[in-house]
Amino acid sequence: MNYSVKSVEQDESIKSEKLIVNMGPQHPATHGVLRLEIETDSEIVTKAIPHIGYLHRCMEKHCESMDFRGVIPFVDRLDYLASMNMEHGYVLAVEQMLGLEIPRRAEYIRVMVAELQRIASHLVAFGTYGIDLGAFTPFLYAFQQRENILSIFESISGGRLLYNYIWIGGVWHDLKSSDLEMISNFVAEFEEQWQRYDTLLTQNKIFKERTAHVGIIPQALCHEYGATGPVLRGSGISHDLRKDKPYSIYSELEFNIPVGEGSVGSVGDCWDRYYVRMVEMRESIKIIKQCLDGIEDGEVMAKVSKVIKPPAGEIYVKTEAPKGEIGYHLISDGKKNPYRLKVKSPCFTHVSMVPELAPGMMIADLVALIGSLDIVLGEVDR
Amino acid sequence: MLDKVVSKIGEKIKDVDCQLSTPEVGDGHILIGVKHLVEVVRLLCEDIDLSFRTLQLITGTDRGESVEISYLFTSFKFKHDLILKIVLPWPAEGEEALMVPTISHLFKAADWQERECFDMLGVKFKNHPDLRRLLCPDDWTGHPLRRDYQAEAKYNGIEIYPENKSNAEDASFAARQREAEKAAKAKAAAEAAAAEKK
Amino acid sequence: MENRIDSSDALTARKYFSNIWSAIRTTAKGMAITIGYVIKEKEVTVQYPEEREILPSNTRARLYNDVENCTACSQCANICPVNCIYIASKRMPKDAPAKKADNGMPIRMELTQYTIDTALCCYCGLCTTVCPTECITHTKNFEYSKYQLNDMKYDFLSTEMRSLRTAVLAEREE
Repeated sequence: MNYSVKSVEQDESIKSEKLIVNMGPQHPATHGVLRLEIETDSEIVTKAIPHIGYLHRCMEKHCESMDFRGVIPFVDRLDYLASMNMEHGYVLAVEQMLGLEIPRRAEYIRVMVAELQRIASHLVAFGTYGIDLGAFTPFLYAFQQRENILSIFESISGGRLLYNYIWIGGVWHDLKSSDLEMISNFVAEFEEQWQRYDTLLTQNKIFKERTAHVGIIPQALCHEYGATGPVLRGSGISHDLRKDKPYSIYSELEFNIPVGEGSVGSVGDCWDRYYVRMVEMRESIKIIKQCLDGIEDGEVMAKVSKVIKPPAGEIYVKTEAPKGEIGYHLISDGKKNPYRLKVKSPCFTHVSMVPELAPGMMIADLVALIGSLDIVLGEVDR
Repeated sequence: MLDKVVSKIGEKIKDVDCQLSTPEVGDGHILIGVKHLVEVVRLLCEDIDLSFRTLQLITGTDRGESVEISYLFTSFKFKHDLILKIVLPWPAEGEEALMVPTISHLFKAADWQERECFDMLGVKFKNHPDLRRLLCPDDWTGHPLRRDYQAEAKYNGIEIYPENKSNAEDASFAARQREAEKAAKAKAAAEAAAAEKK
Repeated sequence: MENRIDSSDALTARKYFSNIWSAIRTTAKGMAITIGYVIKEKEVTVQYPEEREILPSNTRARLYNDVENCTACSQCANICPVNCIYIASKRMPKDAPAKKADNGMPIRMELTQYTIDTALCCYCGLCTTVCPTECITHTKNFEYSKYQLNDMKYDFLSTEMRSLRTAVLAEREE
């Protein structure tokens, strides 16, 4: 018998071709209804095309037919994990157009709820990131603490997820003394919980191996795409609107801006982005503590006319939401509904970075990358 | 800050059409002609004193008689923002759609922002590498953010406003009631007139 | 951070086993927390239908309109972002006795339709804030799922909905 050995390349009966995998729209690792069309060469991703729009409801068009108050429930639903922050940005835009002065107590309450919401949002990011990488337990603990925050919000606003709480001119309900007590209880016990999260996930060797040196975003790329929030800070750029362009009462508060240092892998990798979020939670606790100490008595609503009609003009207001800078480009023509409201969503920018970052990654690392960008599709699709 | 940018643009680019507007309320903006867009954007991005290295967003607005496109740039270095605007008249009949030169070769962020603008307003960006719809499905018709947009009745056989979910009967109750009242009044008047005649 | 991940070095047998060891050690640390939870912490879940959480007073659940107090001003329908309130009214007959709402507002119009499609409602609470007589409120009832979509529509002029009035008013008093 005579055998001839052919290599794979020579053997014409064996074809080698690239495999196209559809990840999503129903995939647990894409955090919602994002569809990634991935072209793979064995396990290496050679091309990734995000398809968005599965959650598109043309909210910007809807807002054109709403009055200025009626827009607030709509902006709530942008990033449904951080409704308070979404409201805060929009409301600031309208108030700056109107030239409204907000009572001090309302400012304190706004900052407090915004920071609580930031913690809640980061807790979800932390928990789901664990699930993405195969650790289920942190998710349960994260949601336990998040539940406490939601209970506080339920008590002060009446809603658990979509609050419609921050209004043009102030906030809807005043904080009761029991609410303040709930917040201070939460603040007091959070540090202990944080240490647990740290032990569960941050220090875990498997977790570190999965995230260090993975999905490195260079600083130049961040600028070119306009990345913001923890993604930008994870790449080692200290930029936070609360410090750089303080709005509300942030200029009076003391807190630090954590940046990625590459202490486990290299600067700008998934671990850095993850850890920036973890440290930010602690900084938020610091802010809330200062607010609890400094909160003043008084009104929570400024005098606002019944029909809100900002003068004709346009304004771009951006605030620091948990996922990055949320910007509202509001164009008014002096009538009772906004002429145009364009939302600059941070997650939209971050998803647009995926085709640039994905080539050369393993599929499992792509999951780690998307998890570390912490996207919410409600905001991407609008 | 805006005056500085305007003077810089006037200095560097010859016979540029550049207007500054600083309203009392809200943010000011710089209005430039479409044909100088790429040059101006390149200047904003590459000039050391301005260094607008980041494109935040592109807003397309249907202003009725024209379409206005706002580009929002940010400088991380100097921490300032700039709104740059161009105004496009609606194309005359027989002409190609609204055309703007792309800036996606200068800013990677512009890629998706321009695609969204195309999707929502139908503005075509010349030389854009991949100008497809972004948020709407590829086979969607119309551009939702135009003022005269009407959604089609059906999309791929799916009714967009199904009748059994639209609550048309409840919504028209008041109108029907008014009609009935009017009819009753007219009837009463007619009856009264008839009675008088007798 | 105690140990950096260094991807550049070649994998030696020593490193291989130390990797495994540190993975076991750090995971065991995490497990210790979980075990601590099992022993120390109280349960956090609520056995729902049997046990219920106490809802705060400003909970936003199903809307209820007290038609006896309604002045038919239709402000609620105007502000509703999703247009789920349908309201119609006509002029009172001339010989009808003058009516007043509980807070003294005169009622000049006769309500002929007040329907809320709660399937559309987004529970934003804007309608309750504009109401001059505070007749439209959110109740605490959140368990009213139905088999048919049309059953989510509530006609508040019907006797069935009117009969809920005393219960809702009592809840409001609390």
